[in-house]
Amino acid sequence: MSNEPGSYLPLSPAILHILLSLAGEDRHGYGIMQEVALQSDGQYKLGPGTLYDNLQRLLDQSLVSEVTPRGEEDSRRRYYRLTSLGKRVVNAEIGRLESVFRQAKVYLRPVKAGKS
Amino acid sequence: MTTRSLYRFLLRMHPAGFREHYEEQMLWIFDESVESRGTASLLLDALVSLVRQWVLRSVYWRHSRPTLAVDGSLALAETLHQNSRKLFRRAWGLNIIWLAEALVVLLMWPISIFLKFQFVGLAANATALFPGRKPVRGRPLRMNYISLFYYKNSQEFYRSQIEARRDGLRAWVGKAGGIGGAGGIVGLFFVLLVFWLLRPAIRTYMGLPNSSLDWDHSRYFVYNITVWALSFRLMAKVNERAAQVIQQEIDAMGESSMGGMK
Repeated sequence: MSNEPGSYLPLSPAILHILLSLAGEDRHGYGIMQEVALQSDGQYKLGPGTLYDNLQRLLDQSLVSEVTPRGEEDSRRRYYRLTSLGKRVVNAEIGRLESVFRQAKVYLRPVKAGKS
Repeated sequence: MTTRSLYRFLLRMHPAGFREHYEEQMLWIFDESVESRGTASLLLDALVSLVRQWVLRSVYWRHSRPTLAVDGSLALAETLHQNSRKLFRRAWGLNIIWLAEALVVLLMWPISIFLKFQFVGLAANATALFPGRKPVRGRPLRMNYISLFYYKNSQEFYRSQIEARRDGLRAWVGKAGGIGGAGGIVGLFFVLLVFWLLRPAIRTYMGLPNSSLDWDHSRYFVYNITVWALSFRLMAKVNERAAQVIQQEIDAMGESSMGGMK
């Protein structure tokens, strides 16, 4: 798999939300689901099936790694961490979205003015 | 069937590779979020996931091998731990069948002396499972964490550890696992034949009437021996799988050293 962040773009909404949820700290699956719901004000709710399907792809692409935190006895809780490549991919996607946003503002402004 | 059982059933329908990685985690999330999200959305999600994994990812899971986590030793220990838990669960699943049968036998009151022996046999069957789980549960690699920490850079040390574990598992599969295979079936028929021939002597010894030890009684005997053989077969499969996981780890070590990695 390429180390060039641009080759992973554009990211699907589920992948973007998962990567963003891991940007702050390592989280287990349920923690990711809660963080995604928090970040999107409850508008985007990931189901466990969707979450782990995407996590598996992210693990394969080395955008996320699995970590074993100290003192965690419950084997059902596996923690995931954003890799350096994952961080670069998120930054690249945010840059792409900002560009889309700027373009949208340019193209949508005359439409708004025309309507008013 | 409770919604949790239904959810678990849907998870168990997933490809084996997916189950190994995520079944326990998804079940844990179900337990945590069932009240806030509702059962319908979680069941629907599991159903969609089931279709997705079989239709879109089945080739992937067929060719995947266990993901190595922080380092190989921890991942391997975790995989073995998961395997041993599965074995333990399955073994106890069989025990429940025996215990249910024992309950039925006890309810058939007044109980004959033959059935009392039968009850003892059921308990013996349940007990016989415990030596079987030893090869996997035995002395877990977790116990070697400290030594692995000091020898972290010594791949040879780690390799010798897991090769010994692999050989032990294979030896057990070859020896005891055969009980549930073709040898076991032949052995079963042999035992039945001996039992059938010895019926008059057993009747005399136990003071049983001539009508006893006919097929109605013998079928309990047949049933128990069959389940016993099947349980060994099952344990052999689980231990065989554990040996395969170790072999994959050894192969992966070989590949990484060929690639110039430590």
